[in-house]
Amino acid sequence: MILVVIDAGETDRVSEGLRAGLGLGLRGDDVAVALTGRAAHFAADGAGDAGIARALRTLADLARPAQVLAADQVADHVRDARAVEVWTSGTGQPATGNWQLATDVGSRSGLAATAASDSGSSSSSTSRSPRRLQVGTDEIEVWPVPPRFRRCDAGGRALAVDGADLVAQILSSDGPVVLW
Amino acid sequence: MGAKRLAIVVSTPAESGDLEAAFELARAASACGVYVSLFFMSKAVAGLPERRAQLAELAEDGCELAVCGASAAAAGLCEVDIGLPLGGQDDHAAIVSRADRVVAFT
Repeated sequence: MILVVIDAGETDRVSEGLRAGLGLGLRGDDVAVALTGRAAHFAADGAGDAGIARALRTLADLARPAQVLAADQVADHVRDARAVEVWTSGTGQPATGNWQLATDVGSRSGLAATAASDSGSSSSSTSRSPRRLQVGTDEIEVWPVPPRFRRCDAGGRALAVDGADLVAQILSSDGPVVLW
Repeated sequence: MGAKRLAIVVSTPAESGDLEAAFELARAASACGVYVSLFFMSKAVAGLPERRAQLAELAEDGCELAVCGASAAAAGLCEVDIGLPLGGQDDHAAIVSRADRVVAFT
């Protein structure tokens, strides 16, 4: 199953996430679309947006209606999926619905500032949280500045992840790779 | 057994840094002999014209590149601007459907 998780409050991002959810079904794959966090209120007839309402109706007509899911329910769906697209606000910030806290990996709060400090990043980047790439039971931070892929060691230091190692880890992971 | 397939989907604007992260991952995977396909849609498409050189390098490395035509039209871009043929959601579906793993910068 391909899972599209929409966790954004912006109309255009929700609309595009739904378009992706519709499009991904064009090759006959089983596709599930979930609205969570700030996106949940769009489930009620698009919250006044005609395009979103139409996309929701189309998904329902295709017998795969978008579902409103709570955090723990999203985590369950992620475990069942072979591929996951998480549609966020698009700013490079993590998803906001806190559903990721219900996954096996859990929160790594506090690592962001350490990573930025170790890499000598600018003050603007220290104010941002990295997105997190969940690969199996491991978690890799994705930053907008190099080194873009980082992992914290046992001492809490953020270290750059070797590209070949990252690729090997992605391809050998048991479950889907999720960037949230 | 054939090469593994990695699909990378990018929909976030260039300011997010996700295009560069996606390119970095694609280069690393391609260097490992992985068949890489990238699909760009939504706000990511507006960032492609100024990254034509990087896109060309990825294509030379054997990566499959597809761009959502509807997103390009919404951004006022055509194939000449991006340097790639425009496709659509069917490309999105095909790339994800046949991939062993998918990484979505969405």
